[in-house]
Amino acid sequence: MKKLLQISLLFIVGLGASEPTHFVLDNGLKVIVLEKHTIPVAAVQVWYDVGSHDEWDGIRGTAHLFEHMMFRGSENIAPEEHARLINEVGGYNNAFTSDDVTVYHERLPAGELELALRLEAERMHLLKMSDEILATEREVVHEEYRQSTSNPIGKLFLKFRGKMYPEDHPYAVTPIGIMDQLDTISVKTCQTFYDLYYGPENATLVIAGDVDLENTRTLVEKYFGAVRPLGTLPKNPNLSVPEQTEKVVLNEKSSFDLPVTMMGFRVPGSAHDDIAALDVLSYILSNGESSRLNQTLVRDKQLALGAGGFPMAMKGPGIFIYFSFYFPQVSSSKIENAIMDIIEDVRINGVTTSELTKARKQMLAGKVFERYSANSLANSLGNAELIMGDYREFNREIDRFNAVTAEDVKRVANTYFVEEKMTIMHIAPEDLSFLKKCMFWIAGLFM
Amino acid sequence: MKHSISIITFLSATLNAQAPIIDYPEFETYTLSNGLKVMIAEHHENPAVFMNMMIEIGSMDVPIGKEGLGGIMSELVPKGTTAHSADEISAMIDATGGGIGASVGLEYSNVSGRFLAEDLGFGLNMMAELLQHATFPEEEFKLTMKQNKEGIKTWYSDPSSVASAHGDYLLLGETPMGRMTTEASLKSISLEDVKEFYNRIRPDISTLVLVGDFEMAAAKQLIESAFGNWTVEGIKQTRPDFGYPALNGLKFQFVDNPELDQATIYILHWGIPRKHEDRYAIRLANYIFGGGAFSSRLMEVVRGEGGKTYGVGSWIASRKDYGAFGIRTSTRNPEVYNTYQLIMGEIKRLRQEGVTEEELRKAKSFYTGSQPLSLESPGAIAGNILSALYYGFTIEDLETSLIRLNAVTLEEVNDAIREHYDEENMVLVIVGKGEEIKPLIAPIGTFDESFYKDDVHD
Repeated sequence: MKKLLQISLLFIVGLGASEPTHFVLDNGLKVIVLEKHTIPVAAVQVWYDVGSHDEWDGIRGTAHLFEHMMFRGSENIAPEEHARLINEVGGYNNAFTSDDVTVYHERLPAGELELALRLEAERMHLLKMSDEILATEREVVHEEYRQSTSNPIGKLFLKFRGKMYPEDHPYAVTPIGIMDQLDTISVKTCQTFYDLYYGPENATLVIAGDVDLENTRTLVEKYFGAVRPLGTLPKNPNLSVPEQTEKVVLNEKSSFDLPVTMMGFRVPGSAHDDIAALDVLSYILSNGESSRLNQTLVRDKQLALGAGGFPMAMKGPGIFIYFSFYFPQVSSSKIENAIMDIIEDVRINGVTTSELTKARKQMLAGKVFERYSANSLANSLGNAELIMGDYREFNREIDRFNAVTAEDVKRVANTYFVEEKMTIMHIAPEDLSFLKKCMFWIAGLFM
Repeated sequence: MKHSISIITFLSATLNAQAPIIDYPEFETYTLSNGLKVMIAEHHENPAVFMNMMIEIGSMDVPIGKEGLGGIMSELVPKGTTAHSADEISAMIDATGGGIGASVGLEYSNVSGRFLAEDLGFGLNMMAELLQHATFPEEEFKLTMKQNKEGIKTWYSDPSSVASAHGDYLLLGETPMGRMTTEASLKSISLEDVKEFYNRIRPDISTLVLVGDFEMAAAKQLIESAFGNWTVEGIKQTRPDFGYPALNGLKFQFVDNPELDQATIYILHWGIPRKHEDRYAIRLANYIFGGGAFSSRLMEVVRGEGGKTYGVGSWIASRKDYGAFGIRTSTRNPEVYNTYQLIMGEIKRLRQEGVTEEELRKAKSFYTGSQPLSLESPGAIAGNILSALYYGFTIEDLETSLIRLNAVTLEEVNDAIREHYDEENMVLVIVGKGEEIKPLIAPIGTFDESFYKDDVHD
């Protein structure tokens, strides 16, 4: 334990990296800066506090479609010119939309920081939209949806995700949206969305890498200082969800030739105190070949080709998902029981000291490996600020993780992983012949 | 022999006076008495170490009909050694928070590990144990084969993989590069095959790169202790000459998947080997044509103007003895023909008109600027160096590669395009819903047809 703490200290201080710090512009823009002077690379990320959970019925998919529009021109920048200018200096840029946030990110030579800031500031308040470009981007999003659902399991996962929340909950529809509604979204809707959410006081600018704090402050003032605040921000939607009291079972067929089972349990939002214990449990259950799920289902019982469990961290209530893809002759109930037995064992007996020690070291090592990348650092800082509520959680994460006890893990397993609170989807291969089914039934008797 | 790699420092001075200077790690290179080449460099940014072993044996060395042998071997290596069982090995590695992974690529294999600095000795010893003393227990072989035989049945769930498998076979034919792993090829693999393939791994065809937070002298001792007794038996295997027959004309393959409402388009033709004199010109041309994401012509025309796809891109795959050039996209079924025509139109425009001075300037600027981004992680540094060494480049070549790239003229790029891009001799694979797509693509030519779950070859 002492050794671990020593490494932890080294890790937090880091060579060539400073502690993250922040300042706030008069217009409300919060800027988080982490200096890291080992290689001339900078990461610039603008995290907008708006995601698909802010949409209302009828405009499902707007947050993501709008993200596409942010690359399609502003007062002084031609459509796609933003990306081309970043490429031209050797950088990369992209964006993503989640249930909770929309993030625009650049990774580029540190000497080009000013370019990234100029471009991000420009599209924060001078975006231009047209019917023609919206029509093109709508088609692009349709293609993105088709691509993500061309895998039969990917398609069913979207359905599973939707069933984890009540139909009218903001998280019930994933960020890709509802395609029928996407077709009705107009430039006016997008403009409304922009006017409501895209302003400095609803954004956090994260900059990590080979940058100087004072120079960064000057540049941020220069480009973002003139951006007018929105004034009034819309109220955040209510993300609370009634407790699930009945097990939900979904049986599906697919053209995928292996059976798959997904089990979901609702867990609290990322800022909740229990999240650290759930993270520890996730490491113990599925991080590495020797983790409990792999060791039991794949190695010892030889029922499955793969198995795991992980939390989907959200600002509001999240999901802890267990999954397995397994041999066709193994019944879905056998897999379900095998996973539930593992959970039950944690609920009754907890986890061992050596499992806790292993999880702590795995977490620490992962954080150390992540530290080489300015982009990963910026991502972790943005996530801590927007999803966990404070960017300083970035440095507290290891301490919170290390503070989790075996008793904590047992308690969260008992609180959240209860059968009546589970949503389960069994996906069976659809084209099994009668003969094959008989063979698998007989083979299953011996497994 | 000591190499000082100061790529960015050098470039900073010659190409971009504004760019900050980076202290690149200083490598020491030497060879153990058993022939293992070693390159080590201290890198003290974080308390971690990265080790990467390149072994000059790959799936190109697997006999025809036994495709998948390399993957099975690499899965089985950590499943038991003379000192430890599979479960002991995984428990020991997991307890460090680090990891060791092995992959058998086409031309060479790679065993890579990353650990916290305090576990350097464990990492090196474990890598050495796995490379020298794997035992391949029969029950582990049976389990691995059972898993792989089931797993291979789902290979077709990704339309892009289906397109690649067909395209590779049409271009590369009955070679280990053209053929794919199938249930039949897995069935033909015996435990003896696996052991025989493992025994081809030897120190005198291997190079170890170690970068991280350690002191050079201590690291050298650990390397000697872990790998110094690695013995060599038998003679080195030589790789056959595959011939690489030219494509004469166009080959069309349609793969029917009735579930899809999006068609995947995959185009492939011969390219240039890694050391070809036109390599910089073709790299720049590819960036402009389809490799440069939103800065590329294909993205502008197919996505930006037409909204026909989420993504379209081209790539160059340059191996030691051959190369390929490819394009991939997907589009809604009704647009499959128009999208194909847009892509072909861009290839023709590229050949007829070439690229412009401005496009070339931007492409050079991208590669020059992006150099430090590819060197953030010590693991990436190790990978870059090993890849360069395999293809016969020196560290000096790495140092000067951007100077050479920036020296390429517009005329040289356009000459290379005319020489190497070839829309008349290529492979086209389309994967999609036959009922909707077949009438649309009929004007392109006559397609051979198959079902998406079918094996690509016997």
